[in-house]
Amino acid sequence: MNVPMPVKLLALVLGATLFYTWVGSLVPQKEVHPPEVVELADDLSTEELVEIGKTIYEGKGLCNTCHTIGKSGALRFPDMAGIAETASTRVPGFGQLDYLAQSIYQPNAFIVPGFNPGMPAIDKPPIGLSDGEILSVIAYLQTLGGEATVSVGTQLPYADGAEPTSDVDPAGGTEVADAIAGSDTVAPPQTATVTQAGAAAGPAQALLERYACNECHGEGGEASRLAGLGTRRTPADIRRALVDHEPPLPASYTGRVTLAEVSAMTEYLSNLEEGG
Amino acid sequence: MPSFPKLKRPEKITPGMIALLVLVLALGAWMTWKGAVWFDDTLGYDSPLAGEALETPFDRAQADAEAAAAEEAMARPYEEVEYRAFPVVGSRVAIWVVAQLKLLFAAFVLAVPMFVLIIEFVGWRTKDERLDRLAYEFTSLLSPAFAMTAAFGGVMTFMLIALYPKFTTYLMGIFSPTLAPYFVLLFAEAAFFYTYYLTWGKVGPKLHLFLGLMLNLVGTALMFIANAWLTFMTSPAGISEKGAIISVWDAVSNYTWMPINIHRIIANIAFGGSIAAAYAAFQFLNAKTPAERAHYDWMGYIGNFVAVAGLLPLPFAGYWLASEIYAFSQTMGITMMGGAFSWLFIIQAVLIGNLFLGINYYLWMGMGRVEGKRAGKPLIPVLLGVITLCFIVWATPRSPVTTPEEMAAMGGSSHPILGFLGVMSAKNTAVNLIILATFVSFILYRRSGKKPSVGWAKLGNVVQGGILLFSALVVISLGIAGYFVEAQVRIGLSVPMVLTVLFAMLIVTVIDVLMLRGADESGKTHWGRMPDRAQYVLIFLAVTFTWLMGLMGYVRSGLRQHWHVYGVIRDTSPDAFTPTLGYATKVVSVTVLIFFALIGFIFWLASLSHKKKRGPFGEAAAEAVPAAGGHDGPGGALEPGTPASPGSAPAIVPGAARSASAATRDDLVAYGESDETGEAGGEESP
Repeated sequence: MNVPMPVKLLALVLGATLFYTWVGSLVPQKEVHPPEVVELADDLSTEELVEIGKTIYEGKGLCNTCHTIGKSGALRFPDMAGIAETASTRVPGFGQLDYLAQSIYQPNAFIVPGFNPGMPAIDKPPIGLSDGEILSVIAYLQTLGGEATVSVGTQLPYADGAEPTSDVDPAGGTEVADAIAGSDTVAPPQTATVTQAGAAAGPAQALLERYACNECHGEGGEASRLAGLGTRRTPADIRRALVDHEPPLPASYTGRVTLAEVSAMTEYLSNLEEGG
Repeated sequence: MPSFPKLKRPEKITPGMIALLVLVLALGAWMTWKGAVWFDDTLGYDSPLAGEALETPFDRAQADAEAAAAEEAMARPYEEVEYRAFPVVGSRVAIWVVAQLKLLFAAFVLAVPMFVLIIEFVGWRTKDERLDRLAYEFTSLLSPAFAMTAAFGGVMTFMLIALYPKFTTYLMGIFSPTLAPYFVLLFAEAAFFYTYYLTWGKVGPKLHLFLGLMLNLVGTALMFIANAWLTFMTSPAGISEKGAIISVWDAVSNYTWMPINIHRIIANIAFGGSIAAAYAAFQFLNAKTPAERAHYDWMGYIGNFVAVAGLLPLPFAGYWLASEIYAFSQTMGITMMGGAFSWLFIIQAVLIGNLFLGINYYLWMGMGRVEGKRAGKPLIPVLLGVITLCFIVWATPRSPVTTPEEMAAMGGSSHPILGFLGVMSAKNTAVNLIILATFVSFILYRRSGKKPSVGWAKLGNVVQGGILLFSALVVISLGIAGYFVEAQVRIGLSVPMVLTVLFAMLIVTVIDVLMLRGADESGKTHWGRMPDRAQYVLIFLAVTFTWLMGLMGYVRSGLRQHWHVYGVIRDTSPDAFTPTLGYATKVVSVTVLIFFALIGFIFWLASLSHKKKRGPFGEAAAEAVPAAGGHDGPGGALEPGTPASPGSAPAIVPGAARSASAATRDDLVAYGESDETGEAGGEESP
């Protein structure tokens, strides 16, 4: 049968389109809805808090998009199995709760060695969990290798700008900065002091000194001053400037700086106020 | 038995009989109407209260409510709404379809002048009139496409203002300094396009090329500005946490701006080439004369060549874009590659796999145009095997859709063996090998019917083969190494893979060009000696390219999920959710079908225009085809180092395309010969 050319063309276009539509129907079909704010009732038990935290961890918190539980090998982000135990040992002077809270509110303040920074502050958009929701996630994390100890009334460090509860040695910052100065590969353990704005100041300040940023950005320098940078530039802009500086920086910076250091400086500069 | 007189049938129905019939019907209708009225007037029931105002409590309540509503409406203050709903399909689908159609036409309008300028320039430098004519014919497609782009652009703007007023106001506020340059450039583009098109052959070649260059520069600048708006929505910069503008330049030069600019330029070229090839295929199938077949075969080849030239570097531009998305937000990057959108890339793999298979198949069939020995023919099954294998690897999901029983049998969500093919290392390896295999197909096609005459030809062949083999081994080795290193190292391995492939392609091309200089052209190229199915392949490729553009447009936009501006302006409309991939693919398909209905109409219009210009023997087409005696045309003048055969075309400057010189009968006879073997040519093709 001699099929007319226009019919063949129509069949080809329709057939190809239908085929691709069919392929699209073969893959898993998941509709993702915007997350809703979870309000925590005052009389919630810790067990209920853990359940809510697990739901948030797997849902609107997007935690399991990056973090695995119980996997090993070439992972992109740290595995969460046993985090309740490791949390209290990662940073000297930081208790379990302090470490977990810092990891969520200021994720780039400390980077687990062997991993790159990349986790956003969970209390800020786009994830934007409330303090209560973060508390419930921490309750859940405490059950991974331990027991949940927080309750609805627990005041989290870093929530609403609160300081960590652990006894942190203010001098520790300098020691850490010294440690950083001797290493280009290991991320800085942040036993640093925390400024009012919440930035880990010690190591970041040491880094700024190490890379002689104040030669241009300090008093009398040709470039704009760093003080108050956080009010003039977004963290993304600051990070970009640190990575792709204009004019280009010398090799003593570009050849040595690590991503962890960039993150630490970004965090610090983003929160640097006038006079800071 | 009484006998009835036989009725005599009239010979034919006369106008008088029709008039009589109409009169009888009209009379019957009038009498029926009058009778009904009389019946109602005389026998119908008349209420004693008829004519009096009858007001019940319900009527009164209704009147009061209407009065109250009117009063409330008058007192209502003006309120700015955040969203308005588009009927039936909803605002999101409406704006989605219109924006995608606008983008498709815009991509075509931006891409065609790029390769048209190159073709015109090469035609001018090589004094090859045919290339000039070809460039003009490509440009003639632009006029209706330009109008379509403007129309859809206007509709999209109005829809954005009407359906998303608050967000549109915000975006316009952020980018207000870019609006004036945008509109100025818009008018400049129209001016340059029509001047370029309408002055073809009427101004000097240098001035005409300058107009073409300006058209391209202005078009690219327009795209860059529009890209700033849309990339800002994905990776906002230059604003405070609350969304207030701090620096317009930072907002423009956000993380994904330049990667999208580059990616779109390359993708537009690939898409534009494929649509132009589809046009040529459509005309080939409609061709009435051998000369037309030859011309449109050549045109289709060039369109496809442009599409392949764009497709090969496209994955590399994609890597860069993806890495910038990761750099901006790891969450967004992982949502794209490992979260809600990860399965989309399996669909993408099917599309790109089909593209590569189609392109290679077309190239292999194209070898049938060339007389004589086709040295690369034995390699075709090997290449087909490599491409198919890589296609399968690329389309293998890490965690397939399974039942609980199947998952239990596999011992997890991933298959114990095939699961290893679903990770990035395997997919990177597969895509790089597909690119290498397609490059080999192109080299084989290029060398059909040619015999290198340089003394070092044998060594050259060995070096070329060695480089290709070595680069394939490097890609495979790096792919395997990716399984044994940390994630941050593994991600970085894609860079040496890409560089290896690019380096291999560059060196092999240079060697090939040097080696084929002054080569013996043992076989004639018979343009037009292609089976019809090759033309359907070109059209299939165009559909696939278009569908792919639609799908990738969806993922770029969908990545924002429930944000208009990621992390800054939240989408609170009823459409804030991310639909299923099945739903998204249906919308993409509808868009593709609308696009092809419109582009088909444009093709039809263009064919009418060309028919009008063509004489009864297809002179115009015959003028624009390469001579049958040599392997030039696209494989000649357009390829570096292989000049057009001397004497195969008169030395004519750009603008000759519209000269009215008629083709010689010899040309037609030459193509008549090739047409006779046209069907056989199909059989000969691999």
